[in-house]
Amino acid sequence: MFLAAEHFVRAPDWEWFILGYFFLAGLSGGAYVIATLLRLSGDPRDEPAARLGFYTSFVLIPLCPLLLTADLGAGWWKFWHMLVNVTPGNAGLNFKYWSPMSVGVWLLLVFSIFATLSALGAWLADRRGREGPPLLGPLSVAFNVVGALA
Amino acid sequence: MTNHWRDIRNTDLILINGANPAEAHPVGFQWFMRAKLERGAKMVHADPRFTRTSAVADIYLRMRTGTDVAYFGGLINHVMQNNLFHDAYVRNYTNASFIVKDEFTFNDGLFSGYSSDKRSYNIASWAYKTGSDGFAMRDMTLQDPRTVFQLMKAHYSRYTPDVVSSITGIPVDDFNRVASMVGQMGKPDKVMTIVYAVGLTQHTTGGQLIRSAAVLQLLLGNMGRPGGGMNAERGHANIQGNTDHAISWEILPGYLKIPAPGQTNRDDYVAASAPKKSDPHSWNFFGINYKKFLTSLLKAWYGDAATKDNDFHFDFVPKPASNASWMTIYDQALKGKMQGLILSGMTASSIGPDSNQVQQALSSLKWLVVMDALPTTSSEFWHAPGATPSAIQTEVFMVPTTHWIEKDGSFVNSGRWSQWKDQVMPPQGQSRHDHWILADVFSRVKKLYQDQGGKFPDPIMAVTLKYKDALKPELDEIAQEINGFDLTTGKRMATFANLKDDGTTTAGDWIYVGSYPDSGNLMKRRGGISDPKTNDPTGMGFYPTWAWSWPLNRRVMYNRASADLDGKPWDTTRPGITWNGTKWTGDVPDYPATMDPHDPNAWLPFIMNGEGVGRLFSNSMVDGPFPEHYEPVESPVQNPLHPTNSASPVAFLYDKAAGRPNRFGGPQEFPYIATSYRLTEHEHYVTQHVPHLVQLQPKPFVEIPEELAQEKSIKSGDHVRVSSKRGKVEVLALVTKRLGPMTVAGQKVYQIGIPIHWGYVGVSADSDPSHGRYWLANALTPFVGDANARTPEFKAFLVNLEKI
Amino acid sequence: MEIKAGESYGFFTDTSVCIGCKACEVACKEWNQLEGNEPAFLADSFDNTGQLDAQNWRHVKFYDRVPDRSTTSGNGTAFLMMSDVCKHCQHASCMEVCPTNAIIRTEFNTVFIQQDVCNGCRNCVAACPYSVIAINQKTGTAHKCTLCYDRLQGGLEPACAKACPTQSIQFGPLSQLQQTADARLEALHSQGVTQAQLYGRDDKVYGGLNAFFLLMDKPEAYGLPNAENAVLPSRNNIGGYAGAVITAVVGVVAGLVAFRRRRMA
Repeated sequence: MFLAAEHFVRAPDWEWFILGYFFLAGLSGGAYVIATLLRLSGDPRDEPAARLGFYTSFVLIPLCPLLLTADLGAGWWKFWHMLVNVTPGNAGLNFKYWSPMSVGVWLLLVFSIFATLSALGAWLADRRGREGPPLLGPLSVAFNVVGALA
Repeated sequence: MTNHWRDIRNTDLILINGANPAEAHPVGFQWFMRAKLERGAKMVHADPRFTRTSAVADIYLRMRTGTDVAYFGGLINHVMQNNLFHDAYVRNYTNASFIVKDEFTFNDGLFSGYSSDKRSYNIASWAYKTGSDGFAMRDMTLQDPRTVFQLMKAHYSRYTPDVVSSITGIPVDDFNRVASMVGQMGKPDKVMTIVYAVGLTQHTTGGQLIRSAAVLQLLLGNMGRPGGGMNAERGHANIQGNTDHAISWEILPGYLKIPAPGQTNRDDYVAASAPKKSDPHSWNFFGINYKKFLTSLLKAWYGDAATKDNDFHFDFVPKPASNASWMTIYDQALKGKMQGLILSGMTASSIGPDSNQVQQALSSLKWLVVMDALPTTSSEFWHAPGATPSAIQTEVFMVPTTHWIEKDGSFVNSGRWSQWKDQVMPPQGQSRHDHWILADVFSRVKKLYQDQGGKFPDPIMAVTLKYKDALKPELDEIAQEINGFDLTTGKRMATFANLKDDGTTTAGDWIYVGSYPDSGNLMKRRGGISDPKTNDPTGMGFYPTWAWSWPLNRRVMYNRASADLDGKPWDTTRPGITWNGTKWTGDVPDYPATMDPHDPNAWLPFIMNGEGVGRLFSNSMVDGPFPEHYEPVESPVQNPLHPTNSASPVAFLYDKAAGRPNRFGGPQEFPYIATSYRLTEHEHYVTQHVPHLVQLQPKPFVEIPEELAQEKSIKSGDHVRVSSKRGKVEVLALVTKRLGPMTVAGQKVYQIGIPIHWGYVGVSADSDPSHGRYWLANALTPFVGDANARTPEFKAFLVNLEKI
Repeated sequence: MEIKAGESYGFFTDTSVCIGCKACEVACKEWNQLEGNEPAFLADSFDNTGQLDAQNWRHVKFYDRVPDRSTTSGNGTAFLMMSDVCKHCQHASCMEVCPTNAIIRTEFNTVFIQQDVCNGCRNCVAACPYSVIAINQKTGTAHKCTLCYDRLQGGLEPACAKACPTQSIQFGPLSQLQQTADARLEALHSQGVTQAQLYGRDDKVYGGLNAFFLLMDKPEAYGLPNAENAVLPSRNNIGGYAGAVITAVVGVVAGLVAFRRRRMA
């Protein structure tokens, strides 16, 4: 902790957007995790609750990039630079496994896809009126938990 | 400077007094650092404040402001008592051997000839005993008790380390440590430089403070040598040029004296003004050429109107009957004896002293013209915060001028180099060059005289303005005029040695003759460090093809004294000039180029003096032939050397002389010593208009010693009031250990530091709720002048301090 | 001096000869067209700049430690002055964390923030151990010393080094500067100034600093992390990720346990 405190020499002045992001991302991720757990180990009567969890996750997650983008301030329109390297001569995707923010951005994207697909699945299942846990669900959990919390 | 900036690199020891070169001359300061880094030179800074100069000095001595005569006097005493002076130099190159008149005395702080009514000296007794040949008598053994040497030794024997310590506040041990370092510098292979600035000048004893250092340098044989000399750092980029061209009232261009009433012709004038030969081997170059320099100046001014028959119109030159120095101008205004005033390139309200009184003086005028590039405290004084504009009848005209970046011309630096510069940008808005404004004013005045006559129009009518456009003279044309012409050939002069007193030559300023010869403007030369082999053939850093240095492109003045009697440099590793058997080589010699030093008729080394040698004893100052310590006019202690004559007996007390109420305070009411100064972040007052520099030092403050601040519960950033008998400032406090308490005459004293840069004009004042109402530092300083030049005592006065 | 792409350049800032004139600060602002912050009297010796930030890419720090009496000031040990600047670290924390790759190493081996790429995420602001980087609110991007990238490209030395009157700030090829610094350190040590030391000259802090210093006291005296504390932000990652994983695992296990209990009930 001492090292961390010393390291954080200057506050980056991240605004409430970031607090909101962490809160909502946490809720979204948590809902997704609980929903997944319910499917994994709950009984079939929990399926509506699991679907509610996926819906919750899906509804909340789009707010996250909006908040993050809002926090960028005057440079907000360059939010996509997080993913795409626009350095002349070095065009490509940006991913730094050693940079938590870079990892977080990608996890957010990936999680959003999962959240969307899961919610879509839940919706389709609702339409059909019966359960049908997608195989992807359990697999994605590990990623999603880390992504939401990291 | 007798030497120049780069030359400081050549020294072994640097004494810095009354100066803060790291802050005031950061660019020139590189040479101090080079001396330190490359030669291992030592730097000693004696100053009231531990400044950014002290920070890199080897020794810092905390010293009470205005006591440098005691410091140098103590060093002189150390050198004389221990026979550490440069013997051959002192015997042959100074007036140590000259015998002084028996009537000359010094008792209880007074030299002979003092009149307390006039507060001045009759200096008749401050002279040499003369022999039957009319020349001064000398004793080369230096044993005669009336020799300058013995008189001086006796004079300074009072300046023991204890006395020095009790006056200056420097602990005895520290003083002794410096004294032993200085004592080494009398060896021929050692050389020391003394660097000073207005911290020595701006005292009622200013001239003597500087002379005391010069005397020490002569004793150690350091004058005229590379790495040595007396080096004055000048305040603005061109203040040296200002002085050379007679900015002050008592001289004509080139340091010729101003004529006095009763002098009806050139010969009267020369007889009263020129140095007189007092030794058979003295060339007395200045004395014998005085008339030529004057005549060439008259020809430059009055042109064809100046003829042999009318004595070249010497009658046109003003012969002021009374002092007309800076303070006198405002003194006259206060007395209601002035109608109008033109201020060009300076702001009277800020530069003081006693700004409140100066503003009162400005209010007593009918009209005031301010020529400046930007608003100043003088152009705005009539509506300053707290002023009542309706009560001020002075009509103020602001005439916008160009800034120096908007014109070409020359800057003369402290090292006497005249460096031509280019115009950076065209004049902005409606601004006009100062010299165009003056030319225009002159032409209109001339027309008025032409149309209406007037009391004495002749000098105005006779002035010659041979410019392509008399209303818009080019600086290049003025530079040529200053250089002068040979009227018989029409060519520009190459050297002042060829000036004549028969009206066939002109010279606007004889010391600049040769700066713009027929070959072109030498001030534009840039033979610099890009090619040191070619441009610095001696390796001594003279760079003779870089710009042009007066006189005659000489880089170190008095350089004949850098070589021994045989013409061999005292230190062959640091030669100034060398006799090679047929001529002098090295720097431009301050001596006839082919005069063999072995010739029995060879001139003595200091060719400009009547004596031909350096003057340890001199009657050129009106307050004493030997520097003596006097207290500042406002001081918390009595002078321990002579309490009955504590302060300078000849300082000029303006208020007293004019019958105005006393404006000096005592230590009971104003217990703290104050000194004023500049900071590196600002240039005088003009940078209050420069946002980047205002950010660096945004608000006025005073520096307060930590101990005193604790006593008064003052913390850095608090608001404080500093007041003197004359006025007050209300500014922020900066508490520091850099100004500490000191023990003087057994008593503890504090010094408070007051930076001067603020006023009611500029970025900071505009944004402050007070609008800078009590920000003028010079509201505190005393309206008193030194006896020689009437320089105000900006650097030592008494104040009180309160938290507000 | 010819400035060539492919060579490492940097600053050697010798605090022993710094006279605190702040010419570097002003020259930097003039060249880089930085307006500077609102003027404020900071009551901290002669420093009214306060910190390196988006408007101040050079900052002269003052440490007023003058003793109480007439003193030997000993080559700049009593009143420390240091012109601080971006260190252009070999292992640059800012560059490490930058998610957009806006922070790059230039052809002069300096660390440079591409203004058109930076989107203002401020990760570098938090990451920089020297508190160098700050956001310009107008552009919404991170700013710091560019080591006058534009001047180097034009063959000119950086503005601060050009303006420095005492050669306290020297610019040049890193290898040359290191030699100069070694010689200067040796000279000071031989004069008995034993506390003089180089900072960032070797690779002990952040793999070596392209802008390294000669200090007249320990790094801590100047508010600089010493070699022990000078570590990259990624050293937080293992701890951070481990914490996250543990939290996640605990959460999942707790959830599983909870559901199982419920089912059993």
